[in-house]
Amino acid sequence: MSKGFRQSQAFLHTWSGLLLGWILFLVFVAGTIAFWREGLNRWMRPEIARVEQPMRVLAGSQAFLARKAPDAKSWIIPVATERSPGAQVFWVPQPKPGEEHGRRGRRGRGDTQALIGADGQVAQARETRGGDFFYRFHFDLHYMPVIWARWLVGFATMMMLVAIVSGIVTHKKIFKDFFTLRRAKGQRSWLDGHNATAVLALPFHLMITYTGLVTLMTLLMPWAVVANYNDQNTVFATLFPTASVVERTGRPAPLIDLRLIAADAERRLAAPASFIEVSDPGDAAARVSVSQSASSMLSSRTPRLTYDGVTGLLVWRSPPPGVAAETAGAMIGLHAGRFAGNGGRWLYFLCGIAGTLMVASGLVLWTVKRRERLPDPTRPHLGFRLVERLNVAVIGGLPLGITCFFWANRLLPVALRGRADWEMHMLFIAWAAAALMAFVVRPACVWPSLFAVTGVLLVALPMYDVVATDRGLFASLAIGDLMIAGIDAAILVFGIAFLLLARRVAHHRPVAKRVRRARTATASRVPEAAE
Amino acid sequence: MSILSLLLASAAFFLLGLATEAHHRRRFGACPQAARCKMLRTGGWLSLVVSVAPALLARGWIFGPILWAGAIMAGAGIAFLALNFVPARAMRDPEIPSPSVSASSRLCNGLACRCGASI
Repeated sequence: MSKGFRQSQAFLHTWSGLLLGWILFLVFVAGTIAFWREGLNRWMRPEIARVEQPMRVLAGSQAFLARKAPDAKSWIIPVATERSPGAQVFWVPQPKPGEEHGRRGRRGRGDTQALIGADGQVAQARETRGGDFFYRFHFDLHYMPVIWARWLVGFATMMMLVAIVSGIVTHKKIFKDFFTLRRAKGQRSWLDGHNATAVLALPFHLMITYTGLVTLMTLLMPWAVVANYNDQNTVFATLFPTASVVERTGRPAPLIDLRLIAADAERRLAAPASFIEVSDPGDAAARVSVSQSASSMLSSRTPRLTYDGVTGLLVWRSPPPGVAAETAGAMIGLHAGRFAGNGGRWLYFLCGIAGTLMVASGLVLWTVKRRERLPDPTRPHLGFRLVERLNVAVIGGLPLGITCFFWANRLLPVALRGRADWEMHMLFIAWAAAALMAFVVRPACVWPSLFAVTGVLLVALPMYDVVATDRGLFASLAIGDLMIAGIDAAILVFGIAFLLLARRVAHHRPVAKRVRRARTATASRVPEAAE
Repeated sequence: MSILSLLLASAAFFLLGLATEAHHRRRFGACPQAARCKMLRTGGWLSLVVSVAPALLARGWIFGPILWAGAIMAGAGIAFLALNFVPARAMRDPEIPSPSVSASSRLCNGLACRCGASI
C-alpha cells in the first residue's frame, strides 16, 4: 500500500516537474535576478550618479513637474533612495472633454514620464528597462498577453507545489541523506545534487511557491471576489482605501513644498516613504498622498497618509487593513523580499540559485535516468530526444540570452529608436539561436559551447565596464558603491563558473562500459551555472 | 546577533552531519559509537533550537523568524559544503581512544550502523 502510494507520488513528481519544468526554470532565473532589481536599474544606467540626497531629488522632481505639467490631473513621484537610479516621475494629464475617463493606455507613455537624477535635474540616461525587465519577465513573460502569461506561470507554480510535495514523499530519504553528496557517480550524483539543492532551501522553496500562488490568487481563484462584490471598483476601494476625492475648484493655489510633507509623513509613519501622489497640483483642492516604503515592513499593503496640498495639514490616514488583506500582504511581502536589506537579499538570491539548480538538475535527471534504459542508446526515441534538446535549449540558452541582454544594454547606440525593446529582442534572438543550435547539433557539442560562450561574454562584461564606463569595478569600489561593484563581481564569478563548467563538460569522456553517458559525471556541476 | 544565529545554525548542522555514519567515518575514520552519535545529535538539535533566540533578539517577532529561517538554510548550506568539499584528514582523530575505534569499526563492518544508516 505504502509502496504503491510512493510510486504514484514518484510518477506525479516526475511528470509535474518535467512538463512545466522549462517554464519554471525561466521563472526561477528571472525571479532570482529580480531580487537585484533596484541594483540592476542602476547598473544598466551607468551614466547616472548615485543618489546621495533623496530630498534633493524630490525637490527637483517637484520643480520639474511644476514646469512640465503644471495643470496635470496627478503627479506620481517615487521617493528616491540610495538604491534607486533617481526618481522615475510620471504624470497623468487632465482628461480632455469627451475622452474616456481614467484610461491608462500605454499610448504616449514616454511623453508623460521622466527620470530625475541625483542632482535634481532630468537625467539623460540610455533607454532601458533595467532590472524591472526581470521583475516583469518573472510573471508576465514576454511577447504574449499578460493574462495568458500569468495563467501559464500560475499553472506552472501550482505544478511546482505539487512537485515539491510529491518530491518530499518520493525521496523520503532526502532528510536522512541530507548531508550526502556522492561525486562522480553518474545518476547517483545527479540525484544527490537535486536533493541537496531542494532540501537545503526547502523552507524557501515552499514559501516562494506558495506565496507566488498568493500573488496570483485573484486571477487564479476569482470566485470569492465575484461572489461578494458587484464591480471591481468596490473591491479596489475595499482593499486599497483612499481618501475621498475632492472636486477640482479651478482656483489656483501654490503647492506646498513636498519635502515638508515627506518629512512629516516619515515622522508620523516612523518609516521611510516610497511614493508621493499629488492630485490636482496647483489647484486649491490639491491633495498629496504619501505611501510608506515596503522596505520597512513585511506586508506589501503599506499604509498611506493624505495631506491637503496647500496647507500641508493631514486630512486622512489609511485604516488598518483587515486580517485577510494583511495576511495576503504579508505573504506577497515575503515573496518579493522588499523588506530585506543587503544580507537578506543575498540569502534570497542564493536560495533562488538553489531553486534554479534544483529545477535544472531535475530536468537533466530525467534524461540521465532514462539514458541507460534506452533499448538502443544510439537512436533514442523521439520523446527522449525532445527532452534532451529542450534541456540544452533552455538551460544552456537562457543564460546566454540574458548575457546578451546585458551586452545589448552596453553596446546598442543610445539614439536607437525603441532601444529598450531592442535590448529585450536581443535576449530572445540569442536564445533562439541557441535553441536552434540545440536542435541541430549533438548535445555533447552544444552544452560546452553554449556554456563557454556565456562564460566568456560574462567575464568580458565587467572588463568592458572598467574600460568604457565611469562605473567599473574599481571605480565603484573606490567610491564605496557596493551595489554596482557587487553586480560586476557577481557577473565575473558567474562567468568563471560557466567557463569551468564548459571545460568540465568538454573534457568529460563517457565511462567506457556504459554507453553514451557524456554528461553524467559532470552531473553535480552542470546546473551550478544554470543561473 | 544575526551572525551569532547563523553560526549556531551552521554548528548545529555540522554536528548533525557528523552524526551520520558516512561523514563520521570520513572525518574521524570510524563509525560513531551510539553514545557519541547521540551526543552529536543532541548537540546539533540543541544548537538549532538555541539559534532562534539571537534571531528574535536581533529582529523581533515579525522579522526574527524569517531571519532564523534564512539562518538555518544558510547554516545547512555552509555545513553541507564544508562536510562534502573540505578534504578529510586521512588520519584518525586522536581524541578517540583506539578500543572504541576498533569496536565501532567492527560494528560498522558487521551490522549496519545504528545511527544515520544511510547506506
